[in-house]
Amino acid sequence: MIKKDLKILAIASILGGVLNLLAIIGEVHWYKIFCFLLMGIFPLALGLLSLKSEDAKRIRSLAWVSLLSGLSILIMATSDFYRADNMPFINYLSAAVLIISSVYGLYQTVRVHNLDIVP
Amino acid sequence: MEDQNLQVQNSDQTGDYVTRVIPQDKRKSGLNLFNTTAGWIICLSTMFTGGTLVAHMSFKNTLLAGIIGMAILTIYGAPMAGIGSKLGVSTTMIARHTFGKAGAVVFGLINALLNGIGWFAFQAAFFGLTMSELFPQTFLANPVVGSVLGGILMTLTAMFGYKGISILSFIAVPLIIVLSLFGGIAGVESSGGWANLLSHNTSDNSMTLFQGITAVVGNAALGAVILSDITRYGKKPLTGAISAAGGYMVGGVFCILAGAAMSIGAIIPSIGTTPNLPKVMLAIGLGLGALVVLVLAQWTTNTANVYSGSLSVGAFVPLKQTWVVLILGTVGTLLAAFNVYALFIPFLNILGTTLPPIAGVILADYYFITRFVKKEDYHYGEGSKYAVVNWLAFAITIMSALIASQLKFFTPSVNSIVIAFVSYSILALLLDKFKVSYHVGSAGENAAGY
Repeated sequence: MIKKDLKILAIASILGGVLNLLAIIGEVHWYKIFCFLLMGIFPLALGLLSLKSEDAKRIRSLAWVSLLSGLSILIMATSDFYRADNMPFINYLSAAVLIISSVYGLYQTVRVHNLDIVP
Repeated sequence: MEDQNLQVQNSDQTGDYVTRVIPQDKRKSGLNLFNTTAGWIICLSTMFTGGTLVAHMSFKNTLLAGIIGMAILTIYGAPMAGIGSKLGVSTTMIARHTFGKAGAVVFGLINALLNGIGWFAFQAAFFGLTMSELFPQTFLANPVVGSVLGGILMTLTAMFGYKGISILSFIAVPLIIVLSLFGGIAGVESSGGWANLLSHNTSDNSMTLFQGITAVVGNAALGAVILSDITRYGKKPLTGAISAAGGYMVGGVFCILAGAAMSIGAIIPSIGTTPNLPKVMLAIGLGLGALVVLVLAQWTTNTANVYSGSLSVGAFVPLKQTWVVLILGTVGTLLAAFNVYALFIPFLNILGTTLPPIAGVILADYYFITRFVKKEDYHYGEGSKYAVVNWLAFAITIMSALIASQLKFFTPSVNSIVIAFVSYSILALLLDKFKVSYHVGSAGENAAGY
């Protein structure tokens, strides 16, 4: 169960991270590129690192990183300043993937793996 | 049978281990403590302190004042936090040994009134005022509405105890930092870049570095005194001390810097004329971000304030923790509705001079007299013995506050804590040597921890 949950979360994190990085394509403003890069790189990196893990606590870590990245991406996407010029929908898609997967991850952390919701 | 007795001893009748030592398996990670303490210090009033400083001194001195001020707070905050993690009890419970069982009630009442009600009311009113500035065309235009809504939110989280606060902080602290960072970048970009921004010198240089440090220390002095209320959930004393001090330092310096940066940004006509971070963010098109920063910053701080106040009251009033939080939160919210903003400056002055000596006395009594000289430790649980009152602790606290308020150098907060620590250590040592007891009466602890 741990491996299955981790795989689901890791793939969702990688997907969410990559989607946010895709928003960089065609972008000219350095601050938007910086924002998309920073917000996408954390879930992507942790997702990749978690693919082989078998530790239930990693589910919690991944869920928290996904949740915080997803919420940040969503809030940025609603602003005039950080909205992607070419593909604004992609920020929302990335945020949705990350937030939904994180809710699943946190639920499994508490209900199935009997861990505290925060470490 | 022994196990059953142990279970009864550890039974937590009030919830959230208000009068109990927190079992090791219930303690939290260093990251948890770091986040929760950072959430406590990150608030708009700390950001505003940064904005005020940069209006009266250079950006470099503002940064220095922030770092030195917060470092000073951690000098006494870290050992206080360490005691919390070592003993697993709240500050008021620690004060039972230092000030006596009745003496701790006095400390608890002071903390509940200042922190749980007074500071809570101030922050809730501040929340309402800022909301009304940000959203003048909505129902939030009336500050009373924002104050009451904020007060309800802040009270509700604290009703879930430490768990509620730590979950909130886990969401809030990273979000506030990320959003403020991008808010800052947006502000710089909107004003034409760093060079343009820094070429605007708005400082009137009317404030010295020491005055800046005093303002920083005064703003967060009380929080550092009662860090044990958070770190009692720490697994080890060193972890608790480092995590809490780190969270307080990082959160505080971040807030001061963010406030100062936004204040400089605010002089650019395209942005506005306020050192109010959410207002600047709103002006440059980060509407939702502004709302999130405002709500979360005030929420985390104030929920911890009312929580700390409730721990103080709960240490001597046998009521469920949730009820104590509800009562304090309701009183604070009602006071907030009457707007206590005008009390800001006197309030800081009181905090800066009267509360740190309490920490000085606790530190001297625990680390020097009890651990170093007597080679003993504070103990809790059924049958534990306390003095009713430690008159020396009270005398030193009052004397230190009075002397520090008259001194004309450095900051009263630091002066008073040093005076209290040194004078208590010397006098207690001498009185012990000459067999003069400064503890009056004897009181025990019952099965419920009272």
